[in-house]
Amino acid sequence: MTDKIDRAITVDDLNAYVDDALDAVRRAEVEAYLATHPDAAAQVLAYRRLNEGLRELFGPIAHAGVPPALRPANVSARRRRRRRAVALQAVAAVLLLALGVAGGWQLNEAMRPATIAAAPDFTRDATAAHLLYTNERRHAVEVGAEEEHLFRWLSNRLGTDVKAPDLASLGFRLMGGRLLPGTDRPAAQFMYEDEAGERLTLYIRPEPGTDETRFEYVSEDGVGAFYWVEGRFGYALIGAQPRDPLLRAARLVYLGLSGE
Amino acid sequence: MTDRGSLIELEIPRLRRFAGALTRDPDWADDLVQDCIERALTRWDSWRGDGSLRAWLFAILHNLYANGARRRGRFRALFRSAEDSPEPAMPARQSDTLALHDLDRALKQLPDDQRQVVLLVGLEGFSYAEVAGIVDVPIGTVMSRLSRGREKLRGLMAAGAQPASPTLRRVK
Repeated sequence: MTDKIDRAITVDDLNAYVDDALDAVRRAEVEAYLATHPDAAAQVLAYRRLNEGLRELFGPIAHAGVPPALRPANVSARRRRRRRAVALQAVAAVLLLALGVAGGWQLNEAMRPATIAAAPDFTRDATAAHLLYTNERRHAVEVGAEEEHLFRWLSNRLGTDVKAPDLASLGFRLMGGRLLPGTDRPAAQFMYEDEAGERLTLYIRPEPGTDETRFEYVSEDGVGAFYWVEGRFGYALIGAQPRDPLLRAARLVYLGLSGE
Repeated sequence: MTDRGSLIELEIPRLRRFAGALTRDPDWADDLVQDCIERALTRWDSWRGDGSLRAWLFAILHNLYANGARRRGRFRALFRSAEDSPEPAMPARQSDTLALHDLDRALKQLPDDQRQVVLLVGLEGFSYAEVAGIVDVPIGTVMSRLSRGREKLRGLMAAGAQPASPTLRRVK
């Protein structure tokens, strides 16, 4: 009974040999084994070639130099700019509104997106709830984001795992949420706020009878909504932001919601 | 700030290489790296400084990828009506040899979890323990994903190149 037989060489050993992850004793045992087992030796060779191939295939990316957009100094500068831009957009929105009211300013009809009135019920309800609660200063949310039971409570009431995706990368923090009347089951509303006091709401409601839809955008009177239906739930993200920043937020929301 | 910035910057080539190999999509890869850098800068305090900065950054990148990958495909299909940007395509790669071309193709057929481990070990040279930390699975899982991943790659490449080459069994 030799040691070699007691400790049979496994495929894990062959991998560890290739990756230089064996101690000297085991390494010697593997080498002795390879000397008498051409199949295993071929396997080791193939794995080495795999590694060489990977480095050849992808090495050029590492040698390409760092694009300016990815340099940390630029990443943090962009982040600061983005936060400032959100604040400026709020000012711009107010100015545009004032101009519009004063001058009877009109969007070209062809440029005008579909109105909220034309959106599905859940989006209209979501917008009504948005307008009502984002104007609340002291009672904007029913349960604060810091309260542990927020998600458990809303998940129980909606009958699904309810989440509020992280929008911190856009400068928005979750304030909390509330329960709202729905059709069959109740709906949930989450509210986010940035440093400039701009607010977004995410509305989630069971829509068992509604077909899945693509992202749609509707807007009316300075409020825009992206909405979609997925997996028997309707989602609407609503805010006063222009379409593109709202789209970025909707994209994060979509990506942040877990599959099931 | 400049300190952490320059420390992170040293790791960017590797982060881009791994993200590029993982996603096969240069735009997505750079989005991931950018998010990774941003998160690393804002959460710098949570790097304890005793572990490797590289492994910490790769763990952040892995998390971003894991959170985003699942939904990304569907997101793109669904979003096409709202977002006008076309899907970025990986430019056709000039493979030096047939073997590289086969490897490139075989890699795409690996399950995500195996591909990550094969790349972290074989391309990036992390130890098994470091990979276990990055991917957040036990070391035994790392080794079995590595074994299965490499064996599958070898089989795919053998099938692609030389159907006659013998396939070796795991247990002799």
